[in-house]
Amino acid sequence: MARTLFTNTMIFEGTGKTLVPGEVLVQGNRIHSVAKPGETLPREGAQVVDAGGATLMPGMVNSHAHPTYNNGTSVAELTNLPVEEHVLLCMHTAKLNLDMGFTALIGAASAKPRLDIVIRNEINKGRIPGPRMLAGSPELTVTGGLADDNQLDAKHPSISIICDGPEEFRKTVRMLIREGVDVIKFNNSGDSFCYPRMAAYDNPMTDAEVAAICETANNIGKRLAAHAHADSSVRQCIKHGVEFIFHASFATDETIGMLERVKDKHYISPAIAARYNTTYEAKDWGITTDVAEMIGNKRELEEGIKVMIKMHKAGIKVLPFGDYGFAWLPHGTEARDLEHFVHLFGFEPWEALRAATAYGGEAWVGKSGEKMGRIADGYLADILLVDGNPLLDLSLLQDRHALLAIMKDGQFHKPFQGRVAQEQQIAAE
Amino acid sequence: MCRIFICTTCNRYAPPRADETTPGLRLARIVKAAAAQDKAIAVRMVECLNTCPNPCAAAFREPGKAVIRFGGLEPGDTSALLAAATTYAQSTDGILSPNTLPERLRSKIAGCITLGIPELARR
Repeated sequence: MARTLFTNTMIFEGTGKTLVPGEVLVQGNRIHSVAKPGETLPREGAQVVDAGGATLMPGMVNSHAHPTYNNGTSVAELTNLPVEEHVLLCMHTAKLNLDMGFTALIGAASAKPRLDIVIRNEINKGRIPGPRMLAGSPELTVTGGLADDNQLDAKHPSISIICDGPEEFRKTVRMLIREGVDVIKFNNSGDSFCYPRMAAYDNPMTDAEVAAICETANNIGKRLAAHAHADSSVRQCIKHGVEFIFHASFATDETIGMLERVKDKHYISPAIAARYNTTYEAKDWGITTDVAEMIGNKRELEEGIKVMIKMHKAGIKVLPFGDYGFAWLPHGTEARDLEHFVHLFGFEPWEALRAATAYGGEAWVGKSGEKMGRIADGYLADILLVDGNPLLDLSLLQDRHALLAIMKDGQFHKPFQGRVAQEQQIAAE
Repeated sequence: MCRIFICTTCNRYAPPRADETTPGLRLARIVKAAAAQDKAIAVRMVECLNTCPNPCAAAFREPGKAVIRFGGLEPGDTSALLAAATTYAQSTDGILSPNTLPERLRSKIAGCITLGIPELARR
């Protein structure tokens, strides 16, 4: 069994407030042992990686990923993309995610029914590089809901499957599970992205419909995620045990209190960059701040910030990343979310990094019994070496040149070439 | 310390051949080399800064300060960019009047975001 010993490292364990000097031994696909300061680990038979004082940390986990999105400006661009080209694009995006230090993704909705599934399968077989993936379903929505782009006199394909009534949802959930999804995603709120059809604070799904989705998925042990901006959407998620609650922008104090009481059962993913970038950095695509305000996106941002500050203080697990894959928040820039968590939500840098690693890993493995997201004995060997201290400067994680090594499942995706070698390489280029 | 973020993807709408370097990466390397002697400036090479229709792009982003983005940059703007970064670092809130920037950067400001100061500032 292959062994790799990382020595001369500063370790971010995944939950700690500071870096701790130490060594890490990887055996096979797991972390075998972690040496405390002053201790050393056996080197016999191991590839020794002298990290030169670099930070060693768990790989990052994106718990709200859309690897099938094409950095486009509209849903029509996604639906018009032929499936053959779309598969190739997803392959490239999967590699890009791993190149940027994301060793695991939770699919938050697939733009075509089987895209997440086939990319996940190909990665699992080792035939293409990419993060571990939980394959998301397409968005399940109702007539007139988010991602129903039809009109009475014109059909417009979208990235959703439209169902009305509990039995249509049951049948569709069963079909998607038959095809191989891991996560069932549904839209029980609107969004400014479908302005003027369904506002974010509106919930078009009945309790019976949500119950049918959740009962059917839970019955077969599949995971659940919801596009849940509205307060009633969040309450439906709590009531019916939806693990991944996306956005939650308009959750009231009372709902936050309800969530706090069951905080071990849910993860909140605000995907705040979709609001921030659309409001402030999309004018080159025609979305000025005034337009963002008109469609409601700016309000989603401002209310979302207030809610996440409260949720964080309540100890609810708020996770970074999410909804990247549009022109003004493209793939490869996800790590900027960590800055938003500090600057907008009041997280300490170590808390943001904990959310990206230990909490993200915990979310990914769910009830499987697997261990991911920490530098500890028995955990999956998904490891990054970083050229500097991300607890002092989270922006390091946005720069692929600062990611000195990337290991997934005990194998190097990006081998370590030394800290000095990295600087020389950039200078020589 | 001040960080200069530079997009290495520019020009997203004219991707290079596999053996070519993007204009954004070329600019990033030039700026990084020029900033090497200044310990107060760090260069972060990032995948995108959301000014794709107007390459090449750079940004200043520090906690508690306005975010300033630039577009239409070229290697000849390097000195101006470093000077502007120093001005930004020395400011308390990052809200810079265009007159305080080098002349060749004044028409290249792509945006200034003040969210986070002062109403939601944590620091």
